[in-house]
Amino acid sequence: MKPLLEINNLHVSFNTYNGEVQAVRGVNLHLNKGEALAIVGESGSGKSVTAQSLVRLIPSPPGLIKQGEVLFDGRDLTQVSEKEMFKIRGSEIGMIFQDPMTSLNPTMTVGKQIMEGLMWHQGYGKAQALQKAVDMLRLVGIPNPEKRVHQYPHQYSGGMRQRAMIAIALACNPKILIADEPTTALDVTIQAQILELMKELQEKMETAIILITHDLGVVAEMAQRVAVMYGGKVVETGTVEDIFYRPRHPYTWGLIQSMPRLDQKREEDLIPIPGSPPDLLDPPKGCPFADRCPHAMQICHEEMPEWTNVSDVHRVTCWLEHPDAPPVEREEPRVNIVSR
Amino acid sequence: MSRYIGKRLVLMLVTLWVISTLTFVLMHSIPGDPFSSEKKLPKQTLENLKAKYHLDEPLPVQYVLYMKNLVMFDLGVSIKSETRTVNEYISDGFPVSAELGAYSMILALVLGIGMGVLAAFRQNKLADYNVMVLAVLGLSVPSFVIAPFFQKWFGGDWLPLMGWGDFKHAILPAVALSFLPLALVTRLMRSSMLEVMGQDYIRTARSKGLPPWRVITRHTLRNAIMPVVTIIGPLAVGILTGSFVIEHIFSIPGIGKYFVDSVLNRDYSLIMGITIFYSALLILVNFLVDLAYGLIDPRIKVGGKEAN
Ligand SMILES: Nc1ncnc2c1ncn2[C@@H]1O[C@H](COP(=O)(O)OP(=O)(O)OP(=O)(O)O)[C@@H](O)[C@H]1O
Ligand code: SF4
Ligand SMILES: [Mg+2]
Repeated sequence: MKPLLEINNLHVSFNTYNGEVQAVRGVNLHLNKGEALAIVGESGSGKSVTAQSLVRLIPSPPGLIKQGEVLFDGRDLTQVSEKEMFKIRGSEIGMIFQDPMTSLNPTMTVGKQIMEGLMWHQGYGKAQALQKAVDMLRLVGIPNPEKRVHQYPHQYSGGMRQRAMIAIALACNPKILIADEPTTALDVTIQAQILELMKELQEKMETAIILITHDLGVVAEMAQRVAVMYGGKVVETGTVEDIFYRPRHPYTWGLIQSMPRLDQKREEDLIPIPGSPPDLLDPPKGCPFADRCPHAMQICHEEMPEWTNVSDVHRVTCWLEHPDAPPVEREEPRVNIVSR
Repeated sequence: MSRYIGKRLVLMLVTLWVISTLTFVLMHSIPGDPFSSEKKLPKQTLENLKAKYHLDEPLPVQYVLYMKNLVMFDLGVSIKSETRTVNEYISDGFPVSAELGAYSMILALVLGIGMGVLAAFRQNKLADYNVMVLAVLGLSVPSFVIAPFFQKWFGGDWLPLMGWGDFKHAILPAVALSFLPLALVTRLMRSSMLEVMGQDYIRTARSKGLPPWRVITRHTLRNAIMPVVTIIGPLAVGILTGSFVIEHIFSIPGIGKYFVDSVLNRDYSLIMGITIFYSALLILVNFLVDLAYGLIDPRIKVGGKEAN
């Protein structure tokens, strides 16, 4: 089956005073219909830039899609006209952002912010759009939606605002929902509710989701597939089980090790990965993780490893996969996914 | 809401009273009086004159007398002209000043907002630099320097050099008067636009697929205009004080011209009258601006409790 969305060799850079920041350096990803794909990786690894480049929302200038294609619905989104892009954004691909406190327009009622997309994309009249906005608010679990629809964002709590954002993003029933750390700014209890809601809506509306997160717990809860990003590249991708139980890339191991667990006794059990991410102004020509990798070899610094197919869906780029590489002792993964 | 307005009105009256008292005290603490320049007056005449305007009474008595009349909206008789009342001066001069001020204000707001928006969209491009140079000029060159140049360049064949009459007369002084406020509005609007354009909710609006003009008209402008609304009060002050000079340069029979003359002549009642009148006007403008915030930004509930 053809994937719903396919990203091939995407390169995105920012031109800054200090030079060209190569934020995304050759990302390959695909998203199947109705599936939830999680993108994980530490801060600055290029998750948000990748997601926003899909719908060409990166600020430009300074941002620029330098290379690559984003295939959706038989079109390359990096090539279509801006006018065509207006029809795709919000209608075929919706987005939710990290901070619900700042992502809603403070001087416009929540209802109008939902109605706007409906009137623009689907040609709804005012009354019809208002009705649909009320329905959407009810769908995302806002109590008393007939009244709430006329309120301004500052009259909503943080969790309710994120629900409202979800209502905006899903109003036109998009095929893809991109959620960029949708729960990071929320309280833990609210986080769980929002995730629950997204999961429920994904099943109900058959929306495919690209979920960006730092939180492997969220991944376990929501996603079927995971892409691990590091230094502007995807370094490993596979099913949630592949990544949690059979990680192949040393960075993924580190990530899994650093995940807090329920059965954890002391703080120091958390093992952060020592070192810092590569300088994207002058990215290494070899493996981006080489400076921090405990298994780095000479070749790692010199040449980028090729993709290795561990299985149909489990792929990794690491020199350790090479037949000539010395065998490495891999620690048992220490996770149980069903926590939380 | 009505309670809030009532409270504000009382506060405004108190402010006005403080201002008039201060003006009264300050004015009388400057040496000299309205007749000190006319040395040749015989002693008897001088005393008669002083008695006529109660200037021979002790200050507290004069103060009480003045306040009594003020409450009746009677600002007294101009000491210099002897026949015209201050109220007449104001009712003659104010419409002229108001017309000139209104033109300047409209010019400053419309052009300033327009140029600010343009500059923000062409950030660091030619249009932006041009606008900013203009704004810096407006901020640094006082209007009394600009005005004579205007008269030299544009006055004469096309536009009248001075005086007051039809709309043509208003063009040069209004443009000269609007220079400073225009520069202020432009700069503020530009920075405010840039700030709003970088906000998360603008990205949200774009993520809905709205084309740029919709994002601007529906999301950017309304939020970016707030700071401009907040400086309308100070702008009005700037235009008023600017008009004193401009009216003088262009010989416009507005309040500003009378005011300058009245100060030079120590015309106590006229100084007091105009000061109080302009203070009242500014206090009122600021009050109206405060009410306007609430209309533009729903987060600011003027006076009332949060409606939830
Ligand atoms: N507007 C910009 N100008 C310059 N550099 C930028 C800009 N936006 C992002 N970058 C750079 O691109 C790189 C990737 O950023 P991105 O926001 O995609 O990271 P991320 O993986 O989403 O991190 P986080 O988890 O912190 O959100 C970072 O190094 C960042 O500094
Ligand atoms: S390629 Fe080398 S440096 Fe990179 S992760 Fe594999 S072993 Fe480590
Ligand atoms: Mg991010």
